[in-house]
Amino acid sequence: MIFTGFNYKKVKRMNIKTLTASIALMTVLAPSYAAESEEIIKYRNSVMEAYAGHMSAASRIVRGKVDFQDQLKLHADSMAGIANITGTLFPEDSDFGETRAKEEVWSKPKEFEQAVQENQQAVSEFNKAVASGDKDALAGSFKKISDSCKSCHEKFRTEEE
Amino acid sequence: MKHLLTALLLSVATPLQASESQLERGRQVFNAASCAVCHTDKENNGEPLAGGYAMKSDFGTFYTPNITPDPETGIGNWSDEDFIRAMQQGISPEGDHYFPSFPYTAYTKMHRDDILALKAYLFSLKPVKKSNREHELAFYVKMAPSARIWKAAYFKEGEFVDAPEKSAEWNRGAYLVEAMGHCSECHTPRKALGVLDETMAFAGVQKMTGVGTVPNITPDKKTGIGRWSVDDLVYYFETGTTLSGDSSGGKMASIIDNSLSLLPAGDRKAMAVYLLSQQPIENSIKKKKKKREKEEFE
Ligand code: HEC
Ligand code: HEC
Repeated sequence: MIFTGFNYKKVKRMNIKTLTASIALMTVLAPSYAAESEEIIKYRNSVMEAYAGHMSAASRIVRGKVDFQDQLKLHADSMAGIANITGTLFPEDSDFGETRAKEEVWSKPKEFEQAVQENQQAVSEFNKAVASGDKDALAGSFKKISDSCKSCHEKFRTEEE
Repeated sequence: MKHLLTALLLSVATPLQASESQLERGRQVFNAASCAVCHTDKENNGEPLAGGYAMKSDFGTFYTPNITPDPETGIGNWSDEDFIRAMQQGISPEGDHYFPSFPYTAYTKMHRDDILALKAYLFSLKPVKKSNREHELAFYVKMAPSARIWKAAYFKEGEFVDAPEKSAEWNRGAYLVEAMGHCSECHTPRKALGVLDETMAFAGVQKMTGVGTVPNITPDKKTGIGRWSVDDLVYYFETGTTLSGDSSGGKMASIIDNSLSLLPAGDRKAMAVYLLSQQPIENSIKKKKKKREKEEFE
């Protein structure tokens, strides 16, 4: 079981003997597992930062700060692409290391999945609004995206410390 | 006789009954001062304002009290003067001193009329029967009459006074940030004994117990929010989206949801104008990620 990764819930269920044996094994294997987890976390952070970048850029167009109307679709498309893969960025073994992801991502998978879907839904509404050019729908759906990001961060991301 | 009775009843009833406009003003004060952030235990689906929210601090855990108008377990029996004394002086109806975890250190700056409107609004809400839970504090805080000693040394009482040389908008912003929003409670670092370090106003805190990393919100270009425009800040107060497109989480998200996003647009702008007029302070707050170790789960 140890080879499928370090799942603390499983660890809790082990008896003392297997636990001792596992710890011995862990000390041997830990560096490689930690490295893999760390790489996933770095990848995840980069994707999330890209998402934030498109959000910020799109908000400057939506709020009328700049006039790159023809580029709004690029941001909307990219955001939709990222919203669709968010759920895949948190595999079982990527919960150790320098991450702000809370344990709840893995211990409450249904709720996490729902938060991801709310975000996808909002982004898809935004894409429709970009296509139709309806100003109110644009502002409304964009607000929904930031609300869904905020609410997910509130539940599933720790405060930095 | 009947007429006399009605007249009598009316004359008694009128001062108690809050007018629509007073209730509306009270609601706005309630939102701006974000009472719900602390007095509703959202994490455990607690009823609005019935308290029980666990506030972690360096001195232990405070459990916020019930501030619904329930006469037994809430504040339903409080007179106007009781309420004003609690908000402006940090003293309970029984004469006890509150800990500054209840930010009366900021609320003392609120105008009397605003506090009365706030009370009228609170008393128009649903009473909830729920007893208060005792704080779990460090022994040295519990032993001494520590709240009284602390207050005698550090608490400055007094309502906010407009700065005549500044614009009405700036003064409104100052009032909202300093008296109501109590932003410095988190964004200003503290010296010993939890005293705010005024020379570092709004310069951020690397690690605040129970809150986490609190960013520098002085208009310093390198380490603060010096690149944000008034509009950028207003947009943040409305949506929680930062300049870099990140979406705030944690305690700040709760303040945006329960307070800043509910304010009249003009108030958000006034706060932004006031904040960006502050002295820029270079103080780099690093967004360190927590290293989660496997050992934590054993
Ligand atoms: C930062 C968290 C926080 C915020 C915001 C806050 N309070 Fe409190 N409040 C507390 C804590 C903690 C106590 C308990 C203090 C003590 O026991 O010494 C308290 C105590 C009180 C009390 C005394 C209740 C009693 O039974 O003696 C009242 C009244 C009160 N708060 C009203 C308010 C109102 C009104 C607001 C909004 C204007 C507000 N509070 C905002 C944390 C908060
Ligand atoms: C309970 C503590 C607390 C209080 C009170 C508080 N803040 Fe914050 N604030 C935070 C934290 C924590 C963050 C970081 C949020 C994050 O990283 O997601 C933050 C972030 C911010 C930011 C974003 C800065 C950046 O660089 O991203 C601004 C602006 C801000 N707060 C303004 C305010 C204002 C204005 C008030 C008063 C109305 C206030 N805050 C009250 C804790 C607080």
